[in-house]
Amino acid sequence: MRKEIHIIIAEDDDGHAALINKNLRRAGIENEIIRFADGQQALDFLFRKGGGPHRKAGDSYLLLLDIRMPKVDGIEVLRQLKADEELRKIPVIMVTTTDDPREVEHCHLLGCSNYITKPVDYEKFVNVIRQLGLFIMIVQVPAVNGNS
Amino acid sequence: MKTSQKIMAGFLVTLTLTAALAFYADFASRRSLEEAIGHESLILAQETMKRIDLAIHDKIMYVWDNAEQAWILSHIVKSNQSFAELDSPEDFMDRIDREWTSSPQDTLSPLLLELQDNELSRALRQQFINSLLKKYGYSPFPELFVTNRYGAVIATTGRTNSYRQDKKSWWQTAREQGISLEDIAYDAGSDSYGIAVALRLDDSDGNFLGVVKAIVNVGPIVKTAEIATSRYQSARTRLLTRDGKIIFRSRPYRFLQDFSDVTLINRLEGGEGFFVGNEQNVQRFYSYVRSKGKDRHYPGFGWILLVSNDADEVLASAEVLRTRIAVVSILLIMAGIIFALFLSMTINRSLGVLSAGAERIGGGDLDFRMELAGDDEFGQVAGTFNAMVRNLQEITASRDELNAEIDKRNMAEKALRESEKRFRATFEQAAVGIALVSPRGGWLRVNRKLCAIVGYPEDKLRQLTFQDITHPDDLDTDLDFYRQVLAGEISTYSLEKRYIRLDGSPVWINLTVSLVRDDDGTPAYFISIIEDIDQRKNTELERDRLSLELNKKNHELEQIIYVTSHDLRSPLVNVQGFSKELSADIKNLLSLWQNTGIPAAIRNQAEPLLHQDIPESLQFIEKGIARMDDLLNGLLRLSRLGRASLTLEECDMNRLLADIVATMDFQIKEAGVQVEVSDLPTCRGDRDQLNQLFSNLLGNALKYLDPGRPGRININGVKEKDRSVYCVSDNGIGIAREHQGKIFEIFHRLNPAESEGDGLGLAIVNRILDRLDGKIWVASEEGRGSSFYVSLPGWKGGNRA
Repeated sequence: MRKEIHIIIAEDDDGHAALINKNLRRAGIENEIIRFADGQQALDFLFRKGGGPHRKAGDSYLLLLDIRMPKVDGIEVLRQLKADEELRKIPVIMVTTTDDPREVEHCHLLGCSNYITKPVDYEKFVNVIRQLGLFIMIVQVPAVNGNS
Repeated sequence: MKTSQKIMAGFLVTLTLTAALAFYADFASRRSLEEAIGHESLILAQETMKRIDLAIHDKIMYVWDNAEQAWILSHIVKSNQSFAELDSPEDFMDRIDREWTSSPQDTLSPLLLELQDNELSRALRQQFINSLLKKYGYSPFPELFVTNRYGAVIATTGRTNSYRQDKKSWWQTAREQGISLEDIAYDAGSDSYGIAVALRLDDSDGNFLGVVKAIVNVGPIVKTAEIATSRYQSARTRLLTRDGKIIFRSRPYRFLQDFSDVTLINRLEGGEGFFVGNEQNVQRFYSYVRSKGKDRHYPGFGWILLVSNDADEVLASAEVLRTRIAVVSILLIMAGIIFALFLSMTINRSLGVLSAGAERIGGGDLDFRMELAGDDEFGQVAGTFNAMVRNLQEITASRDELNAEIDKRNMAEKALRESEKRFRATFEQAAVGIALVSPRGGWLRVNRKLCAIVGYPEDKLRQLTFQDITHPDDLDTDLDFYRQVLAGEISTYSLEKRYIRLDGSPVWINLTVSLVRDDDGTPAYFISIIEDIDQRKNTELERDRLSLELNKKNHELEQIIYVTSHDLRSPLVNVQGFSKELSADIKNLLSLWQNTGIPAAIRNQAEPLLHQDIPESLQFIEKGIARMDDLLNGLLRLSRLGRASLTLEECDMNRLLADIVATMDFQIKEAGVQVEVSDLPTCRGDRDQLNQLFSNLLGNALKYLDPGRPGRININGVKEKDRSVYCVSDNGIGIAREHQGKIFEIFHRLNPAESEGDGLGLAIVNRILDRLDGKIWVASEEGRGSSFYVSLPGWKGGNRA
């Protein structure tokens, strides 16, 4: 996987974020991992708004998105990204505790690339994240320019 | 009545009167005949009775006249004198009397013999018997005797029954009143029927000397009664005593026998009379007369002379007359009728021409003229009539027209009034509100019911429009329809809406409106029917509100379960993840542990912690997490059930159960259970939900088997009316009675230690059945097994595969 791909984790639960981070590293992912604790921060970064950090034009990004988050939830983040001409190129992988089929369907309709349920069983969780790492390594992620 | 009928009737009345007269004449003549015959025979009877009385009187007088002769009296005086010399005439008389009465009947005592043969007796016999025998051939006095003033018999022509007579009532009566008469009786002394006559004998100074008693033989006298017998063959004569004993009758009889016909006796009232009576079912005319006597010496015994004649015989001549009158009357009537018929037919013919003509002219044919020749009144009438018709012809035309018009209007008005009356009654008394509404919406007419519904008095309501009292929220809908009706797009409409009552409260009504148009199509008025549906509507609204609220609450509840389950999951992921991380870290620590130079004492203390205590704690944490995850998954499944959409269709339960059994084949084989599925009826339900339901039931049956015996599970079903009932029964451990109510509760587990599961199986089953209009109940015995019954709606299309 190319180093210039940045992995964004939008996850309000610090523990989950840490476990995802740890296991991605264990799976051999060495890309930069940027973590946001709510949807708003992620949107600000991607749409380059507000006082926080902004994405760099021309870089490639991959978004691991939780659904249930304060301020702006993951569904809304997904909707806004997919509504944007440029940002819609960013692959979005939903990583959530919700396995409600209707929720899954909804996200796919909005255009998510993948949907991963966080199992409580840690072995499974580790497995899922490892597979996610493999997926990230082989996926072709387009660069996103500055106009959005 | 037609003229001919009147003529006939007149004749009939006359003839009827004639007949009545004839019958009256017959009746009256019969009556007078009866009376005449009655009188005739009464007179005869009177004369006869008079004659009998006279004859008896003669005999009494004869005795009296002949007994008061001086030589007889001197005998008595002599006897009185000799008795007066006796010390006690009483004792003497008693002695003689005893001697007299004690002697036998057929022998004559010396005293009697002497008495019979003394001078006086001989003289009396000569005077009263022998001389009369010579004269008449019989003696009217069969016995005669004389007593002195003391009552002793001093002379007798026959055989007196005793010597002393002064104690006898006739003797005393004669002494006191001068005469004693005894009614006819049998006299043994003379062996004849006669009347007894006792007379007082006085001297010339009126001093009492003695008594003479004579039996008068009345046989020949009473025979004279026969004189009263009339010339009719059927005539009968009877002479009766006062108390109804027969003295004489014209047919054979026994003397003094009782006259048996009491009813006849009872009719013989007063001194005389005549009447019509019946005897042995034959009508007879009776005349009777009672004996009146002659004078104070002989006042009569009250004898009755009864004369009767057979009515038929007496009236035979009257009968002939009657028949003649009847025949003549009938002939007269028949002749009258025939004449009346002829007369009425003649007149009828003329009248028929007149009447038919008049009828034809009356019927409107004024061109008709009567053809009736003749110089009688009918001809004249016809001529006059024809002239009149010509005049009438001229004035009738216009008048007829006018009359017809007036009649037509009257009829129409009457019909209108009645229709109006009916309408008013219907309108006012209808149980629904009715109103006539102007095309602009004003209330033209309203009935009582409508006023009651909207709470307005009639006069007030009629100043308003329907728009005024319609609820603002409902007005647009109503106006929309109203415009459509006016525009002719629809003819009627009906809607449920609210009025605002006078007191400001809304009332729900059902309104039906139709428009009445004039002949030229202009809207005239609306007819509105207003039905009070306030109560129903409010109930409906309340029901809808409650139903909505219930749905909302249900939805909320499911949302809560859903959200909670997810939110609880997030921390669980952390707990699980980091406890795993921790155990991994411990392992790392242990491997580091070996290489460092940690003092043995510390190492010995810390090693049990690292090897045992911490891993054990982590193990408990993980177990707790696994259990909690199960619960959350169960809750999520349960909440999802309520949100899953249903596809209700006919379910082939045989196939469904076969699928389930196939899916669970591994577990079934593992448990060594024999599962039998009978032929099952179809039902109406959602395939997926039913699959879940029966999987849970079968899963439960497998879960709670009794390890002590080979497991057996039976699944069968029956159709009951419009439902299908299925049963899943096992021979497992069963459910204690006290637990049977709780098994359908959420998270309830019978035997948490010995079985796995989330405690939601039956709760899910219950939830599914709630949504499928199904029911479940259990029959179970602890240690024997359980049977779960599931009732589902049957498929209406029948038992289709």
